Amino acid sequence: MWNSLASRLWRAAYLRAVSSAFATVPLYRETWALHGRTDPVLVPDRTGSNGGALAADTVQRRLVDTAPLAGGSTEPDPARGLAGLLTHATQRRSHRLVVVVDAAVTRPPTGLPSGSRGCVLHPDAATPLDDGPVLREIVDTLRRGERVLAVGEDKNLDALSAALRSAEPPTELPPPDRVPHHRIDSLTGGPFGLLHDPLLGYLGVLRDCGRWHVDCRHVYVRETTGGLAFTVLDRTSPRLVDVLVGGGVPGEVQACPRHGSPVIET
Amino acid sequence: MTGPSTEYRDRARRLADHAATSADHEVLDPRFDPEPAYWPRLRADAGLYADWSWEAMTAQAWAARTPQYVTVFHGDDGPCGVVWAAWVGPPTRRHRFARTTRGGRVGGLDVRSPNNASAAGWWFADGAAQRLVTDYAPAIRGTLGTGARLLLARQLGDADAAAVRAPLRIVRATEPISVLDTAGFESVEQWRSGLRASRRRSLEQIRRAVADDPRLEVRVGSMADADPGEVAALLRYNAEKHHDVPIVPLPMFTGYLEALLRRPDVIGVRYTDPVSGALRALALVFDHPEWPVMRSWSVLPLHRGGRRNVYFDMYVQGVRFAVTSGKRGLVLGKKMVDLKHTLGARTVSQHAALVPLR
Repeated sequence: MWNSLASRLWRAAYLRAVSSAFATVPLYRETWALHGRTDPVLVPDRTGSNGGALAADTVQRRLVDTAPLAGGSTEPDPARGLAGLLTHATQRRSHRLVVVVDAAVTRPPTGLPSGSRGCVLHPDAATPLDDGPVLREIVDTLRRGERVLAVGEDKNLDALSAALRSAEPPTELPPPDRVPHHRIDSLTGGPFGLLHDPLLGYLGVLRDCGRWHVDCRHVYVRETTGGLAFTVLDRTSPRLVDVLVGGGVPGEVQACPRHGSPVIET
Repeated sequence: MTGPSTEYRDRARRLADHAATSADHEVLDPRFDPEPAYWPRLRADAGLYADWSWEAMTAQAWAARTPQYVTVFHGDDGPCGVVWAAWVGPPTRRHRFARTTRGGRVGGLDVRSPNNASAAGWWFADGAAQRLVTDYAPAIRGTLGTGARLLLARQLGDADAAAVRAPLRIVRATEPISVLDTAGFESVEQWRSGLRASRRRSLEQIRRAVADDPRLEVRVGSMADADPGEVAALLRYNAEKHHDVPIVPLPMFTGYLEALLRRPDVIGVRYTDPVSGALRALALVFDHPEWPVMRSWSVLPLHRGGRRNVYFDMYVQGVRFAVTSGKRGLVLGKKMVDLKHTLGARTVSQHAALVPLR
């Protein structure tokens, strides 16, 4: 139940992420100290804009400064957070193979349940003429009667389905399960869906209540004048704090009346 | 979590009170104090490089591990001295930026140039290094408190090191800097003709290779149109090579470069890809009426588009800049002393003096 205690703990995790970013990550240190932010206030009398939230393209241009002083990668993981959302994203508990079909995702998702493997397929390779290893692996897995989950934009998933239908030798393959992912400015009604951003990774999931639930164990979201600002709460590198994804999309953060956890409405 | 507003206001009030009662000097914190009206004039009089611009110092001070103070001395005709120092004390942490208050109760002052290991962090109109002990130490202790127990002054020349006299002081030689005198040359060719034959041949081969490379364009000039994020990413490659010291200096971050590259006295020797416009190598030169300093150099790794040997061509471009703009010479900085010697540079010995304060 998303009660006041859970809400306070969620916010406390966010404040720790902000405090840590200000103390150790050059991008946020410089931006907030020189221009200011309002929530929470770190430097008196400097209010900044958008409450201190940064546009995603600004963060992208300054990725070199998103690693904390102790060191770390400055390469974002667009598949971050996928594994934790899959249980809510599909009706099946697990899949033998999880395929992400997206040009922005170059590394397979990590943290999948035991027995599941992840891989990525570039949309250009999801064609009937392509005989790449990923497509062959998908076909082989389906032929063995094991389940495959495909994640990506609708058009890329359609292309993958078409490629599998014309796979050689021609056999009747069961279709893979599919979960489309959407950018925050193009959220649709489902029945399944994931909220994805190429910089921050997977941020939320469309659940059976029809609402977009935030991955509140790993992601915080707040309303700012620039739109919804997302923070990845894990202390990983690159550190992504208060990022206006999708160029800043206005929205609200509420508690789901059915599940009690935070949902966003854009 | 809120900011240190109470502590900050107390500190600001204390500094303001102190400045009001000490007409001959003031201690400023670039993080919070606005640029004094006299600052551009002081910079010009003292010949301070671009990294002493207030905007750059503000960005640098915020993204530093230690609180940093600028002490300005005033005479009858205006400012007559300036000292930049970092407070180093127990709260200093390797992987954290400075707290937003002053340092701890006990610590020391590290007098050095804001972001440049080739220049001194102090200037007095009469040039007397002894003023660091006789004027500066009492002034800064009057503001920060008597917890300041040590004064470390770096980048002291032979005469300055001898001039710093105090009981129990310790003076040690540090890494020398290389300086290339160019005032006697009328052209780059004249400078090159004075080098030993093998170096001359090598520079000529590199010059031809650079000129023949259609994917390499050399530009020397203002950096105002450069992308600070791209420059920061490029400089990081070289910064990561120099982790051979106990306390690794922080690299130049994008916000700092944003402030720095806008300065008209920051010159870039840029090696770019004319097709994509991407930077492949870069040297930053802080201009000066007499002694420009080559501050930073970096080149992309070969597998990312870097090019072998442009490091040497960078020195040729630097000399060309110094000769054509009538400078006395170029400060080439620390390290690679033998290599710089083959380019005609001389070494200038440097010292650090550690002075206990009582």
